[in-house]
Amino acid sequence: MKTIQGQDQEFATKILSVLKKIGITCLRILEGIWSFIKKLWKHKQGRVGLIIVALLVFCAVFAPIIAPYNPYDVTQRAEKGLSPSWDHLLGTSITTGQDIFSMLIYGARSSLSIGLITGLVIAVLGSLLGIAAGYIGGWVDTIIMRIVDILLVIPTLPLVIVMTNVLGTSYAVIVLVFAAFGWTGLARVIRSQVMLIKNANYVKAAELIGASKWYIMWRHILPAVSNLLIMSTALTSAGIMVAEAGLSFLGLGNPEAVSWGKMLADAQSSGAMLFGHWWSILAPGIGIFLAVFSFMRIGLAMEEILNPRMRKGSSMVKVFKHLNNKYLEEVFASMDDGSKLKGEYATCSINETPEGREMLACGEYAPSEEVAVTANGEESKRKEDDESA
Amino acid sequence: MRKNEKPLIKLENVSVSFPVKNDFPFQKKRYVRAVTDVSMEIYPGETFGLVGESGCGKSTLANTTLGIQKVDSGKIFFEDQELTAMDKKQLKAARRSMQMIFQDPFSSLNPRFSVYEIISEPLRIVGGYTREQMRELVGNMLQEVGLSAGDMDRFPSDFSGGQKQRIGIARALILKPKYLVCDEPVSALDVSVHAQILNLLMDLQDKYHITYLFISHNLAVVKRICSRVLVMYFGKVMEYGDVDKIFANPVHPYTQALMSAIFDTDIDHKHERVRLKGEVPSPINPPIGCRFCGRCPQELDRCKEGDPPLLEIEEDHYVACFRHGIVEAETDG
Repeated sequence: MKTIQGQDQEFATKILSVLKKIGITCLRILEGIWSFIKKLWKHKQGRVGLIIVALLVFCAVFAPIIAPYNPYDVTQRAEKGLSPSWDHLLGTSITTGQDIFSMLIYGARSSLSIGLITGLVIAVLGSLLGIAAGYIGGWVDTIIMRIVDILLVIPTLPLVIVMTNVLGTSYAVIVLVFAAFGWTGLARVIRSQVMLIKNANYVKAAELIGASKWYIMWRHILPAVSNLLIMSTALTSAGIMVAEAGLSFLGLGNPEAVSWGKMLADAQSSGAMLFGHWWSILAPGIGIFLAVFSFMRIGLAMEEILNPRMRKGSSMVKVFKHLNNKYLEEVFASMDDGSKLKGEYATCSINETPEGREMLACGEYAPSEEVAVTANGEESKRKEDDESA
Repeated sequence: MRKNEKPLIKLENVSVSFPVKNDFPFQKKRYVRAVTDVSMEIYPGETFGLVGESGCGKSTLANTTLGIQKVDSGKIFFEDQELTAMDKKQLKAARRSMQMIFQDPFSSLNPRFSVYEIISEPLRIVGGYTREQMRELVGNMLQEVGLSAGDMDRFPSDFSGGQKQRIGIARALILKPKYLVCDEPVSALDVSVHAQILNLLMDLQDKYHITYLFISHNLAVVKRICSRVLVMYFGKVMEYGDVDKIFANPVHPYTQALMSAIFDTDIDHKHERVRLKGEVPSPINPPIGCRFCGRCPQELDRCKEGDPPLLEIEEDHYVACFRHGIVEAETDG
């Protein structure tokens, strides 16, 4: 009996330790997301994106509470094609008589969920295959990268249209098809990043002590690519949302669900523009725009936070400040005085800052106008001299 | 005197080569011979210098002693156990007592880890320590390497190059290794902190009785801290033995050239600078005969024909050069 009890206890402690580990990793992931949100909040564009996403998520989660009607409920349908009123803020649809405002709010559910779930599946697939290709190398790398090469040259949207025709138009099929073709770019980026980290000495030090491949992938490589993952998830989610709206518009979305793309398709097919029901087109359009816009803001903000070269106030802002403060004032002052202005100054001052040199090299800033002004000034001065002589 | 002791690490005729990618299909497979037929012994408690120019196989040789690099032929012994005959599990166990310090302190510390996480990583990989134990060990180790226990929760970016190297040393020493490979530990640092790091390494050696394999191309440093040295050129041993004997009487022309390149602070003392001609030959097609052929200022006809054997010319001083016998004959006559 005692031995059995001992075994039980051992088993229990083992399970407890595993649970503890899972809990710790969950906490670590949450911590990472929280620090990521804090970083985004400091960034202007990121903050805009975060606020809109929060709003959309709120709408999606509490749709039954916020929306005045339930578009899925046949009994809650009103007269078809009503104009906006206090009862129906955005009127009702021409074909079914559903409340458009409620559909707009319920539509956030399908758009966001498809975008986010596909984005997550792509992130998991892309990171797993990218890390495997980059870290293990050899024939694993060769096989994965050849698959990527093949998938990259296949045009996705026509293929998705064909696949939905064959496999049906449920959400699962749409998510799977988009994910199956969307992971390639991410896998490539992650692979190259992993190959950089793999050769770092801290990885060699860990290997020397006898760390397993899993340990190195989990503790060293995954954290290093996590920011990249979040960024690309936001951007691909935005792309998937547009693609899903496009599919629905073509009549290939889930026919049972209320989605923004389907609202657009219904409005178009029922001739909403003909009846002057512009709100039934504008409403889902704004919904799609906000969702894609906010996700793009977050993705781009993340890219700027991650990539120091793209940090705001780098080239343009600094050069313009420089011009405003020093150069332009002097230009105007000298022009008022009518005194001489050295032609070199324009090129000189802009050449002094590295950003200025970059801009000159890119041809973004051409000092030709200023030089022309000074040249004219000098010319006129010379003429005066001639006259006086 | 060393002869009576048991060596900690013993290499017997170790050769390592790497396959080269073919330029054309169906080409005969070619190899870069990184290390050819190297035998050496490292005794416990000593600092063993490994000297040679870039790409001559120093790091590969160091990796073979750690058991990370597979060898083509030859045997490696660590404390009488044969590393080359071990399976993965045994190797892992044997490596517990071996560690490494890297040249570049910037890439050897994960920028996302705190100092505590970096130094305790070996403990976590080995397992069996509680968090409190690890924090205490890490704190003690930080003080040992000249940092304070309060630095534990800071990140590598907060530290200077020398301090980062100290963190790297702390990580290497946390498992109390017997054998430590120092792969040019000071060459990436400012000259002003060279001496500090070297002194720290020597103090730690005295305290824990660690054996160092010290890779360097700075002979002045080797002369200061090493007790025995191996001069490598192009994957082969040129001269090997006691530091004082080799520095007092460099026999091989390559060693002489290296010695003459030591930067001397004594301005009045003018020494002859031996300048080597030519380039390092391609490692895929090494020259026939002595590896130093074509660059050697004292080349003989014999050198092109065969490999000179490694001969013991005095106690604990080995040289692989045909000239040696001739020099002796000249001085005798």
